[in-house]
Amino acid sequence: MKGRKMMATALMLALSGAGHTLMAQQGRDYLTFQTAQAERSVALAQLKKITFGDGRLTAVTTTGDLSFELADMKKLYFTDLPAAIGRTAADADARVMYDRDAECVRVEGNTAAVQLTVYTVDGVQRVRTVVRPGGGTVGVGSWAKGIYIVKTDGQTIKFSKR
Amino acid sequence: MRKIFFTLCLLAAFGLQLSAQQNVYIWRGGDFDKVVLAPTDDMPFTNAGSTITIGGKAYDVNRIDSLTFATPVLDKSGKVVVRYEGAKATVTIPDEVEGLMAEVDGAHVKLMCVNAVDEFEYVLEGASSDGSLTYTGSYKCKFYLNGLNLASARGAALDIQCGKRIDLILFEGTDNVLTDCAGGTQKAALYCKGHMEVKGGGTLTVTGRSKHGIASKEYFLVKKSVGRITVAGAASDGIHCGQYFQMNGGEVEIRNVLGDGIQAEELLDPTKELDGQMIIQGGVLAIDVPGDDVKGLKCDMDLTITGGKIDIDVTGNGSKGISTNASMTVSEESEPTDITVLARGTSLPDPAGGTTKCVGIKVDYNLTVSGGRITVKPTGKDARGIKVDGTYYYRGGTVTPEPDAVAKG
Repeated sequence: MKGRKMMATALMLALSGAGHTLMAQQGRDYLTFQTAQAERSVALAQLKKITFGDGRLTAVTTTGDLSFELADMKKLYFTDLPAAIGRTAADADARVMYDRDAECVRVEGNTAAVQLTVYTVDGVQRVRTVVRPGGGTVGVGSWAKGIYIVKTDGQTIKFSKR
Repeated sequence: MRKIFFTLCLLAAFGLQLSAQQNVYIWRGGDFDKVVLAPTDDMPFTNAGSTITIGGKAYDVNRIDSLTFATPVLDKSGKVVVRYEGAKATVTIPDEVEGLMAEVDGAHVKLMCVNAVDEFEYVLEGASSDGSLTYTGSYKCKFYLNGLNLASARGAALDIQCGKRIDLILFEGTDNVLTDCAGGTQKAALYCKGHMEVKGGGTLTVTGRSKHGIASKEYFLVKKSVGRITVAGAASDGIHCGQYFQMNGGEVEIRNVLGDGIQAEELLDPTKELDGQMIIQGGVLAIDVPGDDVKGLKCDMDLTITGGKIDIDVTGNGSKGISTNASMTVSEESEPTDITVLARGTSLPDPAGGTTKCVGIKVDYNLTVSGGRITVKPTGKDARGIKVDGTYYYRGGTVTPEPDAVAKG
């Protein structure tokens, strides 16, 4: 009996290891650019190359280029999902959140207009809009279940719609 | 039961480790260096962003053309492309390549280059069960194997008749196979009249059905970037070269060869550096020695090992795992060194009435060990461990068993 329990435990461990292997092989899909002020993530599948020149780092992607001052760069690192980023000074009081009860993405406390973009976990843009000063919402009630990434000028959050 | 339990737990842990890899390609001057990172590794910037560290090495960003993360696709512009498709082959020669002629007979291609000034690059790709490439030239050149599966029923699969430096690039992400015909007069399935330097993260599998798997008249160099070279079988040696054999990294596997695993043969030319030597600085080397009275590693002059994992399994009678007609030096100057030789063969009667024993390591002159681990297991009947016909100098590392030497210093 004891031997069977050990075998069962070991099999479960092995399968979970294999499962984790599969998940990990599907993960690490993003390269995150960390600067002194913020972080931006790019899906590796969309990232063509990174070049350096004129004091800048340029990430060439299939959807356009991202550019950073080299002097601001801290590091590059790999992530499973886009990383949350720090707030810019201009957006210090803005808050972005997923309101599960109201089934919406809510922006509050922004003193300036904020561009808000929501992506699926595959990097497909779902909505892009501008939230006026003082806040606003984007309804997601009709959206499919899954994980979404919300980006504003200064923040990135993830939420899971059930 | 406990053994099974722990084995499964190890498999679980190993499963977690298998996923741990992220490739970064650092492009400079049209070529790239591949760095393999763990997914948790980061690439920090220092010196106000002018330096980036990738895989523990610092790079000046101004000297980097670009970083990419997907498996590169070979840029064929400016290169001669030979494409095999079953019973036929096509040769595409760019306008800027002068002095090159091509003859195509089905899938058998002859390239003749009379240009002794320009270094040309050739891409070989596609598949044929009866095809080959014979190249004739007098200047250094490069061959990219870009997913090539070539078997020849006439002779060598790839025959490079050029006495200069030949770069053989196993292009990243590609698997390449070369097989020659049996009963032929060719020296090897892959033959180079000059000196061959192999690089690139792809793989190459060679079978030599007439004689050697791979042969070069002069030195054969395996660079650190090499993915894997496998000799899957040979009627004689796995790899046979003149001058010297050097391995800096990568993986080399020699199986089912009737001759020596790897032999470096002295040219007896004083102008040829390192003549007759074998140098192993890193990588993973695995050799099976099933033939009788042959060697896993054989060289006429000094054998120097400064790093690498070497596993040699000798089952042939009277055979040697490692044999040098000169001295052998082992250290960890380049990277960790771990040498394991199984001497499982028995003795072989010799014509003079005596016997030739199976020996793990045979050194005709001195053996000096200053680091690393050497393990010889002489399990065959009358097999011997480490025989040194000169002086054994122990300066560090672990050596098992104690060498049988004429003298100890």
